[in-house]
Amino acid sequence: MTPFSVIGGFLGAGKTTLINRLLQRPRTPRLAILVNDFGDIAIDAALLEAHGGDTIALNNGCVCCSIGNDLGRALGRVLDSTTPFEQIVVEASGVANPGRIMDVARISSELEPAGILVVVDAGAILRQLEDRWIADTVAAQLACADRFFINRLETIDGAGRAGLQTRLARDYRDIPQVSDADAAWSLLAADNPRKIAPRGETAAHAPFCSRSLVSERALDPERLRAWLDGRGDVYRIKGWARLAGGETRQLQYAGDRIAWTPAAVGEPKQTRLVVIGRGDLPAADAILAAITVGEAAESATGGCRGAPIRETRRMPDGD
Amino acid sequence: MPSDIQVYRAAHIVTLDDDRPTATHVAVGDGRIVAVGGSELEARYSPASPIFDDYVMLPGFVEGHAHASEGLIWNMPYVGFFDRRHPDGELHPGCTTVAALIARLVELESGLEDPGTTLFAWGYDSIYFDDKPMRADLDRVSTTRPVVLYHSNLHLITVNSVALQRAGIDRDNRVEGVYVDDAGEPNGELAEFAAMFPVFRAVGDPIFAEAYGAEDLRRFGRGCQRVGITTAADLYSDLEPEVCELFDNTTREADFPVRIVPALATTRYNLEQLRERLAAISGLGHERLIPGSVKIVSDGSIQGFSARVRQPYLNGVENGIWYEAPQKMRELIDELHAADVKLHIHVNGDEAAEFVLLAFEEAIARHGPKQRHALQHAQMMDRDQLDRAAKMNLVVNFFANHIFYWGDQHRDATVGPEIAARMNPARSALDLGLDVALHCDAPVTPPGPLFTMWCAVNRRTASGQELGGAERITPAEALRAVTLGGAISLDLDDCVGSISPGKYADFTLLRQNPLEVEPMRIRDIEVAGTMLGGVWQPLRPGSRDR
Repeated sequence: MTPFSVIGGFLGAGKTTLINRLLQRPRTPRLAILVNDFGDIAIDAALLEAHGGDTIALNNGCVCCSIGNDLGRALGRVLDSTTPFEQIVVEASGVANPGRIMDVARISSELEPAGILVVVDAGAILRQLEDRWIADTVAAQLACADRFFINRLETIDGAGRAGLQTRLARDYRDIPQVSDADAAWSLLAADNPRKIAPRGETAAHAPFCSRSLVSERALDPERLRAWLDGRGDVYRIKGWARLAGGETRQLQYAGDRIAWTPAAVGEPKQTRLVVIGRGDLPAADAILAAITVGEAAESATGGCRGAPIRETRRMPDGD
Repeated sequence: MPSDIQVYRAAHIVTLDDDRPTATHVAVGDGRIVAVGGSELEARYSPASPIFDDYVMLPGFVEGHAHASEGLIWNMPYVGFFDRRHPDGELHPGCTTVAALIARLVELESGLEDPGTTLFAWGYDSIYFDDKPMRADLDRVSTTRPVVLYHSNLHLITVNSVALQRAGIDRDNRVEGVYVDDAGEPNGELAEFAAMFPVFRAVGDPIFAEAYGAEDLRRFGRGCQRVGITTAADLYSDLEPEVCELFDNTTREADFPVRIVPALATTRYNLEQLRERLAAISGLGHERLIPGSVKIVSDGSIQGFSARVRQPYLNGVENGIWYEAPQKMRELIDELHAADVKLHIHVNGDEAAEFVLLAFEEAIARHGPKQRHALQHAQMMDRDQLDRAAKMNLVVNFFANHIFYWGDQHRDATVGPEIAARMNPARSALDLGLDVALHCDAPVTPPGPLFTMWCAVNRRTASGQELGGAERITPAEALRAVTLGGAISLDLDDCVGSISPGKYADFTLLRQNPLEVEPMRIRDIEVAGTMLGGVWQPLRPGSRDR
């Protein structure tokens, strides 16, 4: 059985920040973290192994998977992985009840419950618990926690801290509070009866960044090589490249090596690449300008096809 | 005489155009309406065939809130309570008793050859049964293969003993959502993700695990066309690149029978990602694929006790759940309104409506009026809320079919008779000057604008009782709601929704005039076919409704 943990907490409490830290801890078990979206996931460039459509693989053995529309499907994929994971962590959505997600580990023969960590925004929680719209949602999230991770404690003063502690201790007496991310994780891991083995060390951080390129224009392999040689911040490129002769090839760039393989039948007839790197990569259209030839109009983020009907229409009472 | 313009003749044309409410002739050129009038048009343009002397012509129906998954779900056999037609017309009789349901499942089971195959079926709704089918009943279908019965809302399944056993669910291993009998044994009913997951893990899941393909989208289109729809919203789509490609390719097929209006769902995306998706799809689209709007789902459903309400449900449930955090909705509404993006907001409960109205009031105060946004379902909105919606020039799209399908349950089991009587308050909304549309939310209820009109005009529940007669509207008002009202709700009233020069030549041909038949007969009117962009699409034999 795979230990299964849930990280919950209201929208904006700091779940993603915590997950970014967990993924990049130097001594970490082989984690699969299921998140709602990659929008704010920032992975240390030195750790990045591969970036598929809905999975980011790290070289410390962890993966980060997008839940998409269906937690069941995402969870099934992780469980069917050829190399089993040592722990699965699910990020609950900001309005979800983490307890209902943990139920899956309580009932599934493949999973064992290993803690619900609810992230609490120290500066916002007392207000949230009085909020006309969300008080019941937030209270239900708190009530199902095994641990509270009190985040942003530095945003409140001593009196505020005392008040917060009193309130949580009064209403949620048995739920321990920690305010250090590493301690939060250690306690969560400790909920797993089979202790988690430490793993290799990692280097320090630089924000991770990706660009999606889609273009009808042909990619020029020599211009691509020259562009890459002029930069040191691109780690991976993968996808399909349309070449000058009209042929489409699969492109993989890693470790300063570009691999070209014939594209399978049915692959897109356009250049469609994901560029992953460190720091702030140029905008997608600037990258395209540097590596393609020809003059057909292209789109930096998506295909442009057909006559755009909406652009020619305006409501009579529009703006 | 311009030879490429042809004039069609019908017994009667209801135009929904206030400049010329009725006509007998319509001239069509290049897929659009050129002129509307009488026999004088025959002298100006060449005559077209067929001649619709036996038919009433209306603007093509606009279904403002459906889902293309109506085309996917028919990959499984239907065993619901009500008669329902396959998108291609085949009648699937309702299973109104447990005995009938089990007999139908036994018949389906006998058609499965491989003994290892799981029997899946969909459409069942426990709300209509006093003695709901349980594990023991499904064991009469098979004791050797798993049997999985999806409830119509897809939030629950009922399974047999084999399925429970394979999933490892028993009296000692259960969680919230695993329902038990008096002896404490699981009774086969499993609710929501955690309880259903072990079953899907063990036997597969044909609904949640599959993405729909081109044939599913075509089937959705055919199902719409069969009931007279020429424009259909697919009001919840990720519009990921693969989905865009599928929609683009499929709707370009020469015989694709309807215009599809997909709305981008916000659930998976933050604001920045939404902007990226909107930018990515900004060039997508053609005459039969019209993306660009955004859908926000605020709360759950009333019959599922998950809509956000201002007073507890009759069964003691205090409140439903937010599907999107209120703060995120407020931010999305503010930013997307400022960016002039058309919004569709699902609000079932009155508390959800209240929050969304406040968010719109803030956004409009800050940025001024821009797009006219639509409140979807809007089932429990009261007069004050409708009045505020009218002041903001919002459009309301009511779930009129609910009155028939769940009206009895709303009166007796969910919100009580007072609120049930004013659910989907089309009369109040029209009196307050709102533009009103009506919808089916397929696959939740079957597509069929004539039936939807019938619901709003007669307000009869499945048991035949009138529910809130004060909110009835006239057939003419209902017809406007399923044509021009739907078009306004989608911001497409410049090109569909009425028979007016310049708009697409999208027509629905009926055997009888819904404004002249006895109101209780509106749902029985036969659809003869549709024209889409001036191309006549007769219904194939055997595909007619009723």
